[in-house]
Amino acid sequence: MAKPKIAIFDFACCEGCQLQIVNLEEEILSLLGVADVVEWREAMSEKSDEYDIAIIEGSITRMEDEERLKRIRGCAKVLIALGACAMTGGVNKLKNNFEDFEEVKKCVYGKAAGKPHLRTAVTKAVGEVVQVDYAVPGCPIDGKEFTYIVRSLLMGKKPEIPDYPVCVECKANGNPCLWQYDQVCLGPIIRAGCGARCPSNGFRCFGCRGYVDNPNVDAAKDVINRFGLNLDDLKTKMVLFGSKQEPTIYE
Amino acid sequence: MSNRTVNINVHHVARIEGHGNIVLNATNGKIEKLQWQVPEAPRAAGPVD
Repeated sequence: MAKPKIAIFDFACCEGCQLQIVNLEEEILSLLGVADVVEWREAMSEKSDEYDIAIIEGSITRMEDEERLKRIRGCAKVLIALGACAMTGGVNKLKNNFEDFEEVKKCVYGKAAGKPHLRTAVTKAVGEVVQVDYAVPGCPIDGKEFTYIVRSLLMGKKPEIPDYPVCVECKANGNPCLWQYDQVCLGPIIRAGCGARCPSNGFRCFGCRGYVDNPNVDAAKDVINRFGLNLDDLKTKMVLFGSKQEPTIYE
Repeated sequence: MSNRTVNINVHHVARIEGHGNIVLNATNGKIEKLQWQVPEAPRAAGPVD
């Protein structure tokens, strides 16, 4: 039986999620035993329009990128969104909070803001342009979760991504709650699967894996009240990876 | 030196982090165009408070 063909493409992102794949090193070799990588600009020179699985990194910020993404979708049987930028739009969606993009560009790029290569449109997650079959959460992704998802697909199984909050893994690690240390941690409403890496190292969860399904925002508000913190504090912390996404917190 | 035209157009240089193109046009040994292009999609993330 012919090995499935995989192609990896990048759009607007820092390409750190691809680096996580490169950093798998020996594990990549075992993946290559069961699949052929036919295009992956960050790691190889070859190109191909014939692939079964397309892995997309980055968000979509230009019209020409939408067209490119649609062409890729047309070639692939399965499409995987890789990392926060592809899955939710990620940090790139911050600019969608502003109506005047020219002002945003001036703020970010200064005098170069008017250059033609800095043309930009509303940021979209990959799933807002084409159908996404599976997603690897995180900023950056976790290499082991990536290999688990790809292996599952190659074996014909549906990968199971946790649908419970980071707090579950954080408690299992025996960590004291960072809310007790005045940190506005997003653990109660963000999808687990990272092993609560950030709070386990003393830094609040800042939501890179996106919201769990049906996040309990009311419980998060209760926590805020219990610790005498401000609702605006929580909303501000949700902007980095949660811009223009559910859940919206109303007063 | 032979009379010949060389056009090199590397669209998205491979094996680097970040997007770069290399364009080189030369005729009879004389470089007419040499560009290093950065066609990366802008992120323009903007400020966060």
